[in-house]
Amino acid sequence: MNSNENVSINMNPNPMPSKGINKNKLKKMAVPYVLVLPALLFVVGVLGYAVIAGTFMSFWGVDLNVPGSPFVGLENYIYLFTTDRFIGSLLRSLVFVFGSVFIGLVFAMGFALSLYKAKKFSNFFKGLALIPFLVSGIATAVMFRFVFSGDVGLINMILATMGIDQILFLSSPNWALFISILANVWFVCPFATLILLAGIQSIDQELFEAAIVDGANKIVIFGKIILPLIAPMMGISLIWLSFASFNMFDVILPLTGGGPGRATEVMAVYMYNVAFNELKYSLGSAVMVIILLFNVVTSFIYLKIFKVTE
Amino acid sequence: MKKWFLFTGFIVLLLLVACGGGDEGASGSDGDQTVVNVWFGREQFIPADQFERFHADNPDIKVEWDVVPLEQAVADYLRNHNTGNAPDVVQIFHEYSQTLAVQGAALNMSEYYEKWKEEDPDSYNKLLPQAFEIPSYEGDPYGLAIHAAPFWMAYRTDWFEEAGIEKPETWDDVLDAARTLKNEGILANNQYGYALPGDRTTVPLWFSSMFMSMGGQYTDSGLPIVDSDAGRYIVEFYQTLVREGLTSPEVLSWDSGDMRGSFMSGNAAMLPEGFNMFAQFQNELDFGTEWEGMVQPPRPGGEADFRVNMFSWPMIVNSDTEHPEAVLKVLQYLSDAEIVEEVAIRYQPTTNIEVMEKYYEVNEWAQGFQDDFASGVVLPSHLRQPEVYELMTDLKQEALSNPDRDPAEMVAEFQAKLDELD
Repeated sequence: MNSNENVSINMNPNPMPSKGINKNKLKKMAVPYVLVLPALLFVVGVLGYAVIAGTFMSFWGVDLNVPGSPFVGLENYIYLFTTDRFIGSLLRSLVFVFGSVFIGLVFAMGFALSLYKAKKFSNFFKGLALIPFLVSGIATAVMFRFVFSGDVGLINMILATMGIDQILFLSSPNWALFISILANVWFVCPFATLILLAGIQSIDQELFEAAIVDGANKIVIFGKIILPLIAPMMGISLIWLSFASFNMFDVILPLTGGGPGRATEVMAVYMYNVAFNELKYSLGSAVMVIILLFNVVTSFIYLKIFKVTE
Repeated sequence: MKKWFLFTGFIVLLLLVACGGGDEGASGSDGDQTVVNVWFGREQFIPADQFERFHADNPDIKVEWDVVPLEQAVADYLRNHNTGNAPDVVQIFHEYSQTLAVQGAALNMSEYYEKWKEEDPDSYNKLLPQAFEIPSYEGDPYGLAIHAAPFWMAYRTDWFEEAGIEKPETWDDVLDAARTLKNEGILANNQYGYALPGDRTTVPLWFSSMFMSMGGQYTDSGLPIVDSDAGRYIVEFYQTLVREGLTSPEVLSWDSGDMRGSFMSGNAAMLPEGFNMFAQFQNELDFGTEWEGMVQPPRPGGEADFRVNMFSWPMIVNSDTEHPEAVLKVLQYLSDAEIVEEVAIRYQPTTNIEVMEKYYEVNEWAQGFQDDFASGVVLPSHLRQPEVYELMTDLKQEALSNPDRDPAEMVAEFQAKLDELD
């Protein structure tokens, strides 16, 4: 034992209490992780298993119509990227996601600012804004069918009173895609609104007051204070909008079934059709992996641009 | 801290218990009883007595059942079959019978049916041959088709009478009738001569049934031969409906519900429809004075190839069942006249001849279809039937959205795609 060690030992006046503090500290630090553990296990058990098993399956040829499931390597991916139907669905997905994210973000920002300003009955309006998110995809689709159908649709009835010819919203390829985007936005926008609202509410009120004193108008306040300060929340909001739009099929399927023709067959609808109608599980899994990659890449880009982690 | 760990442990345990599957697999034993598990495709197929009489007659067999929608039955069944948890009997769309047979997931019931025929010829012979043919693959039955229904056509008798039109005898007459009703001013702006489901969500059963009545043929493997007179005719028929405004301009987004709704609400003069839906029409319109049913007509010149087509929801027997004799008893019970009569009259027609006699007696709108029902041919299916349906839906939508395209060119293009499936 050298002299330094002696000094360090001797200089500690009360070693036992220090150990007690460390233990308590450790306990306190462990609590959040312990609380998160069940949820984590659940997510890993359900989602993790599905993703890993799905990725694994995409390298095999599991097709319930034919016996056997041989190893096929990248054959499913090669097939997808050489098939017009899949390439078409991929391109439509990009249009669908871009449209949904753009319209969704504009709407979500508008609603979030309105809700921030609404002081009376604010909780009521916040609850009201969340309703579309709580309605099932099928109910949303049925509702949009009623609103946009030809003879008895609400929009066409309004157009008729204005002397405008009937528009075949769900029978025309471009209109059908646009209506699908609107239905998707209606469905996913509320959650994005809440994320942005949380961001706006976290801004220090004094910043607004100081800006007003300095003569800043509303546009300047929005552009110079709100937008920069809620950038991380916008990133999260964009991740949600993109993720939900890439994965969307439960509104599109009952609304248009992917038609007319293939006009609304986005990747998620294609995946559903291939896996659960045509019973080609491996091909469906390959599409799942591609959708997952798109989600990861777009999320990564948003995280980088909006510096969510800071 | 200990409490937190205990709490977490409890939650994890709960999750494990919740995630742990129960044993609902193929027939097992419950004490002295043999348990037979049945998956019905719709709740309406379950007999009203819920196997009460069966359990009284067979105290050693216990039937347990569940409802797994027909749309997901095959996938769920195969997944469960792979893990040894599939039920003894599963009800599916008839098109998938051969899929289960090829996968080795269905039991060849030939020897049990032979036994049935020998021991109880009365009950065996009460069933139409289709009951055994529908769930067959390469000549062997893998289940029993207790219920089956053909596609007929319904039309508005009052409007036909007003326009002085006779019941159509060919598909050309159907188009002529729709034209006359439109041109004579019998139909208003939002009313149409012929309604059909043209969207993507509807399985092209209606399209296929019309194709067969027009004389459409199938290859031995079950592929439709659309590059034929019947194929060109059906494409031209669909194109004419759109081109001349004889159907809804929204037909590309109309599902079967829209089609039925238009007829029942008085917005369509004619439509193709399954037998069971006639009971619904009767609730909304007066039979005889307002509407009547008829067999779908033949194509002019294609009378010799005309066939009444049927579709069905057969019960398929699990290849892993440990008690095929008990399963046979369950199938015999479900097809027994006393039991199936109630289901047939309430829901779907049956292949039990004795019950169908009563069916025609009870339902005024069903009379006159006896011979055509008995001669019905099941809609052929291919091993890759879902992909065949995808292509038939594409063809249907192509015809409806391109009324001026050359039908010959269109069917040639789709025939090439269909042939790739063989």
